[in-house]
Amino acid sequence: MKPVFRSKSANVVDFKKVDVQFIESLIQYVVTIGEAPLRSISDVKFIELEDSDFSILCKTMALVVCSSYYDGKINGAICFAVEYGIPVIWLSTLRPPIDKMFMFDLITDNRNIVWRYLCQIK
Amino acid sequence: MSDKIAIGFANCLGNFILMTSAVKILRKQYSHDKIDMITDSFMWDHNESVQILANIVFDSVKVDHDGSGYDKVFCGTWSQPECLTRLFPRANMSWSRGGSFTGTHEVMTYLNMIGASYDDFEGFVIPDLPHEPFLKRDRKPIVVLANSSHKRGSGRGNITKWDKFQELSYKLSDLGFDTILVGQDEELEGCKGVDFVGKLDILSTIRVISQCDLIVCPDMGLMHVADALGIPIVLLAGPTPITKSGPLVSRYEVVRNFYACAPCFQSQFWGICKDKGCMSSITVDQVLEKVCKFECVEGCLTKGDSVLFKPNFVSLFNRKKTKQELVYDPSEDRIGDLFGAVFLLKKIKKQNPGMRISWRNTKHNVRDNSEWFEDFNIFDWIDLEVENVYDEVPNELWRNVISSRRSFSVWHDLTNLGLSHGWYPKMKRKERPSDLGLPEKYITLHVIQKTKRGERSTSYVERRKMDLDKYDTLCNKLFKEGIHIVRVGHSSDHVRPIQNCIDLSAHDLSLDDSLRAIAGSDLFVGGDTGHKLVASAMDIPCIIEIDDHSRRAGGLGGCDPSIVTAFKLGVSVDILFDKIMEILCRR
Repeated sequence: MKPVFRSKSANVVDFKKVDVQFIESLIQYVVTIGEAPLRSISDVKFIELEDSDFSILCKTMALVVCSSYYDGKINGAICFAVEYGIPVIWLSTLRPPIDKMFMFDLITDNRNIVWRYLCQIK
Repeated sequence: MSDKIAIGFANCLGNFILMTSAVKILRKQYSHDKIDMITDSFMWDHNESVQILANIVFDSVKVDHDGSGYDKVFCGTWSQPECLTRLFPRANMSWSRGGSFTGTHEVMTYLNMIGASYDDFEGFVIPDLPHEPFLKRDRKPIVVLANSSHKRGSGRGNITKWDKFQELSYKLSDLGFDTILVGQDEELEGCKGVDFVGKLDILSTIRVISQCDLIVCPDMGLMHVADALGIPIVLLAGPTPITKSGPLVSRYEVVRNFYACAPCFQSQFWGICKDKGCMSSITVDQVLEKVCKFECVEGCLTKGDSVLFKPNFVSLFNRKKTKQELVYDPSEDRIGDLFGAVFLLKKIKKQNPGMRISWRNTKHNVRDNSEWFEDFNIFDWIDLEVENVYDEVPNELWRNVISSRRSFSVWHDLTNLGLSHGWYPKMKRKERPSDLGLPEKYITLHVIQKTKRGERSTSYVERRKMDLDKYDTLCNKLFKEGIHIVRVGHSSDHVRPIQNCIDLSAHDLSLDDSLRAIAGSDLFVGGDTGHKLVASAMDIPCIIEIDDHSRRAGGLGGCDPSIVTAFKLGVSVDILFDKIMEILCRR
């Protein structure tokens, strides 16, 4: 799988590059947006999405969105994951926008439920 | 006085099915009112399937009508309003825009259209199906194949169709699946299977799909039909976005290859693409890999080593949203799944008194060592109101059949209910059995060994195996303290005895007696089997040895953490002994 690097414009922050080859070599990984306060799961790596390159989402086990806001970048990442049939989990005390609710496999503010869910789909 | 309500709609089969989500809610809100459809003559004349369904779903259909005489007229972006220009001057029209391609599902625009929200969604409207069987079922799983047509419906088949169905049909046949071909035109030419292409109207096609186990198709009208029926889907995704029109009811798997331009639906690339690489790059093996992920298919070749490691968990509580009658099939369930499922069904029944819970009565059990369960009657233990017991499940109810190993996960639901609601199943404790020759006070022990006869079970496998020598030592220590240990379970299959315990398991103990023995005990010690769930439900303290795999997979689901202590498999004798003594002293 060839990653797509989007061209940077002046107002795009220089995000830390994700080592795509390293990530692809992992057996299983979960991508998070924001710092997800989850317990570890054996043989599963948690990677925070810091780049606007979403191609790492193609083969992730799940996308966990842990954010207090909902912007274009988050929406883009979620749409991308949904297109590849990746389970998307919303972990926040706030609800996502009502018209985006169908994109989520799980909407909760309970990190234990998310952790259990990830253990089960592993 | 009742309102006259109409929905403006002029689009194809898939959109129609999605739009029925709004009709379903309106029928609830305006139960006494007529709901009509206003459509455009061009779209109406070119969509035979929509004609048939609309005449069933709506009270009447008005073609090229201006909406006069209606109290409310609803219209949304995906209703193709450009075809319904006569409606625009109407002041009483409720108009929903939205529906960009950036993550808003089409169903949401229909819900917005009628002022409903995400929480109101209850699935789609599908006509009542005739009772007569359409397909002859045997033990083989049935897979439906459908391909997009470039002549019918939206006519976008030349963009979204997949060109390897022929090869797929032969491979599926080799792997032991029955294949059924549905749809129109020549898109499935040369495929192996029962060929219904071009021979059935939409109602018959719905009947066929409803009696199958899985559908493999691109994003097309019949995919939404399968979704409305709750039939699992392998979706071949290419130019169309799943965020806009993906399945919402069924379990599904997506096959999509990474293409920078995909999905290009209605973008500048839409319709001008020449190589259609996003679809043509999908290989047969990729599709087969996804097909085999569905354990819901009877006889599927790749049953995982654990029922819980399957994709797209669907909670029983979500599945029941669209059902009036659930038919529980216990044929593959052992003690834990059986009790867990019945606990859940009882909870569902309590929450939804109108829902009917039925039972599939099957003598056939896929597990060889089933004789232990044959005489066991779960209703001696749990009181559940069962509406019907089906020897042969009627065809129209096949899609309502639930099995904890195929269509939902007992342990997933039990775990989540425990975590999110603090709900743990409870049942009345049975009286101490007087006919088993047991001492007045004792603890029960259920040791798991890998056995020849149990090789096909999920419990009696290598990774759950407990150390018999350790339990010899433990029983010796407890015996010296004057504590009686009663070994329960079913171990007639060359499992060696344990010293210093009353070994009922060696005496052809029935399952009922095994559970009765637990009911009379002060403490249950054992491995990850269904017995622990029953013990926990009867408020008997438990000490469990559980392996990491089972623990992660929800093996402790339903077990009340206030009385169940779980140790990692391989815990030392001293720790076990201390914990047992602590619990017994407390009691």
